[in-house]
Amino acid sequence: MKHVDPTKEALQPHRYPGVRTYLLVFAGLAILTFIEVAVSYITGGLKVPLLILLSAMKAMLVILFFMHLRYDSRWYAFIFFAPLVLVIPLIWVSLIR
Amino acid sequence: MSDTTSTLAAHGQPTSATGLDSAKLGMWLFLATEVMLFSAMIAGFLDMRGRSPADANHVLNIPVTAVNTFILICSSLTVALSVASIEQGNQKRLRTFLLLTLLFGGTFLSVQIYEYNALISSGELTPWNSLFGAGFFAVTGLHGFHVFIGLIWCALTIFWASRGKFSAQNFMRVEVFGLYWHFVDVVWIILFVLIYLM
Repeated sequence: MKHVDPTKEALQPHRYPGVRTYLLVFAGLAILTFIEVAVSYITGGLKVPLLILLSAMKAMLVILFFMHLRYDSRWYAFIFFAPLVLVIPLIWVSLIR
Repeated sequence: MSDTTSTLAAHGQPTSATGLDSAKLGMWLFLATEVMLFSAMIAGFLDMRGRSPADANHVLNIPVTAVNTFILICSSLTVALSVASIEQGNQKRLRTFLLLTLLFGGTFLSVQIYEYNALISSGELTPWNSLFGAGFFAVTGLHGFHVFIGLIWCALTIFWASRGKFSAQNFMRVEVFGLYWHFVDVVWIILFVLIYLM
């Protein structure tokens, strides 16, 4: 029986980011958190879109760098983000009500 | 390449038929279900919040929770550094960073319990006195439960690390724990904005 070859991605040695990248991401997360809190005190129509944008940036930093999705197989990214097809409309409808 | 090596990923763990690591694939599938679970909870919370007064969250302590958010971000950094440490075969740093993760995670959960106690004992916000309160305790409680599970998992990982179960060639269990912990952090990043700041 012919053996199914693993993808090259899975067999390659890891190319995860180093300590310096982790520290930069951490600094980015801390700064974005500070900006979020500052934005929460402003009033006006820009507040909610800005807060959503800032939290999305923070979430993507964690997912891409700390969870290594930027460096791992794209299958993992597909699996993780596939539910967003259902989730984004659900959250959107809940937000605009 | 022999059959044995061809079915091993970089961590010395068995791969699935897709060539992906089985443990990591399983964790990403689990996290996809968690995305749907938390999304349904968040949608329910937003609906309840929409039926509550606009300033229903004014009783929440933003400065304290902002510091608590920072503490959880610190725990994500220490998990990332623990994976980086064992990737280089450094057992001592692995244990140190995992212990720091346990400390940060425990602090986060303690502050959350303190917040619950302050809100309920003062009667300002309880699970039964308003729709916002019901939604708040349901969503943050589910997240807190995930942190609690993560703390148990972290303690187990420290125990395994102290028994020398991990090496530079075999650290998938550390990485899979890290995926779970980072996901819990991602959920909080979103909850912090939706519940406290908006």
